[in-house]
Amino acid sequence: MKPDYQLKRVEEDSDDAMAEISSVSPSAGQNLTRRGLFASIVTAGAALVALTEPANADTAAQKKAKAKCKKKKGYKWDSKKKKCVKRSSSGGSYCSCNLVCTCDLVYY
Amino acid sequence: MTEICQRLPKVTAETFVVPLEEKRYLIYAPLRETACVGNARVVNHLMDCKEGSTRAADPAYEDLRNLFRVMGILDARAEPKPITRFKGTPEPTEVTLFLTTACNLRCTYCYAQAGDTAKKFMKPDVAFRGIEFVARNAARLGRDKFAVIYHGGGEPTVNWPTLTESHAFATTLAKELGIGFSSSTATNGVLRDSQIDWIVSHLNGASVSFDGSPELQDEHRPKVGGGGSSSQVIHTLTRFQEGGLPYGIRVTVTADHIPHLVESVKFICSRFKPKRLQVEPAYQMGRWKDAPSAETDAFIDAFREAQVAARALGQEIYFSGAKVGHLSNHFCGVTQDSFSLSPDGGVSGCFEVFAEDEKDADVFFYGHTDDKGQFQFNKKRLANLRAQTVDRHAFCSTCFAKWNCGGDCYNKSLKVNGSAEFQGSDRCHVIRELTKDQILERIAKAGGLAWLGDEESPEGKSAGKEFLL
Ligand code: SF4
Repeated sequence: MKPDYQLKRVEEDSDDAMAEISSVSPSAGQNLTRRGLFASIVTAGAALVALTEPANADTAAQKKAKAKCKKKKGYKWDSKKKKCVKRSSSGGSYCSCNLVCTCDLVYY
Repeated sequence: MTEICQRLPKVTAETFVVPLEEKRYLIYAPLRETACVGNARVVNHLMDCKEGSTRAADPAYEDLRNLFRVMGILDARAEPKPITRFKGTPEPTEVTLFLTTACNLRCTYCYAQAGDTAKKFMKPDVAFRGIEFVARNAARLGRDKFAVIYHGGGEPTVNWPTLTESHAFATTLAKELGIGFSSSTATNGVLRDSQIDWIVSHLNGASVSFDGSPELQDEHRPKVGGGGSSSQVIHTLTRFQEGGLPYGIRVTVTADHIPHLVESVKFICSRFKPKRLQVEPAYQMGRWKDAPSAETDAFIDAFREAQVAARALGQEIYFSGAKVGHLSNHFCGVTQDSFSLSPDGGVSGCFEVFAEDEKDADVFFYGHTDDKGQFQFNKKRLANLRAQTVDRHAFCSTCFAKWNCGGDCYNKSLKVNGSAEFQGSDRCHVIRELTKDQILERIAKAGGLAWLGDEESPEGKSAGKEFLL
């Protein structure tokens, strides 16, 4: 069956009176059941404002390095590491056969 | 009126909504690489913005709209799509050589049915032709290197003479052309010590099929004359590691392997440090055609548990379909003029379709050499292969995983559905669940509220993103 995850209206109930962004627990991406992992709920407000403010702004030298990096073909700026890193190719092969995949060693 | 219209926010990202447990929804903008989890009201407010409803300007939701602005979902610049499309005559700079259909193992789940089919061996001159073609293309295109990959249909090292002779040929040619050359092989790891020595000193990498648990390895990957292969493969991996060869391990999971996957991953991670550890459910193809499927919820659960176990030992496991952090319109090289040579010299676009007498060879074989030794390409077949990108799969158009998955395996869809039009497979469920895990993990790692991308602000990121065309 064709999957359908397009943005569309969803059913609201009495619990949905407020718009709420849920906090995701670190184990949500690896737990067998996600029940209880979205428990801490943040109502739209202060926490979101904090989130939308630049937390870890770049220094002047970093800004310069970032601008230089953006011009360098095949590289991207990693804002966490604050350095220029090689961009992974969007081309190349990826095999999923029952033999083995050599592709990542070669292409990625 | 005009003033109100101008103030209304605009949805400027391809945005997907994935229902989660506890009436929560994952809101994911793949091309911005941003995501958050919200309730129904959050989703519906985004719909208000999309529909241009007056509620879209409700001051009570301004903070939420600001979050969506930072995520690039509202009022951002247009997002470029990661579309790569090939045109004209193929000019590959990498060749994959299917050296033989023969194999020294008789794996239960072999997709290629190696050993059951007619034995074919590639002659050195076929390999030389392919190498010369890609090397000269690389030199003409100003690339710094070309690549030679020894791969499937059987065990490449069984055709040792062509492997070593073609490598020597490529080395000489690279020197003559003044460019670099890299080489790697897929192998089942059942090798002689002299072969291991040669691989360590001549190749840039190897990818070894090894299922982890020695009992399962011996059961599913027996030697041609009988007996298990685990001790020999463990020996090979140990020698690769000692020799400093970058290697990957590929674990194939059959339905009966699922309950033991954690044990297998622990076995590997506590002994070896592969550059990449790939875990894939077995394809129901070849000898494994009628076997029970491993593309199940049980596999997903086992994968999650195995990931926890791998991380505890300082490693990570990968599944080829779940690739958050990688944006692409294709899953593999089949749409990108992937250039693989069969033992007889035919050009295939797929690693899994390695001989001209195979099913669907008329779809994947798109070239051959003429009497003068020149490569000739079938334009119609090539055009069909090039068109199998996710942006052209109607089936995938509304799937949240599409720009990460790239449309999965065309060969698999053909084999499962028997239809030229892409229709997905059971793998889609595995892909979506594991992709969802990766997105949630990104949100959690970013502090728990929203993943705002790995590099720059969404605006800057979109503006700076380049894709090869
Ligand atoms: S429908 Fe299946 S193949 Fe298509 S993008 Fe989604 S998971 Fe991938």
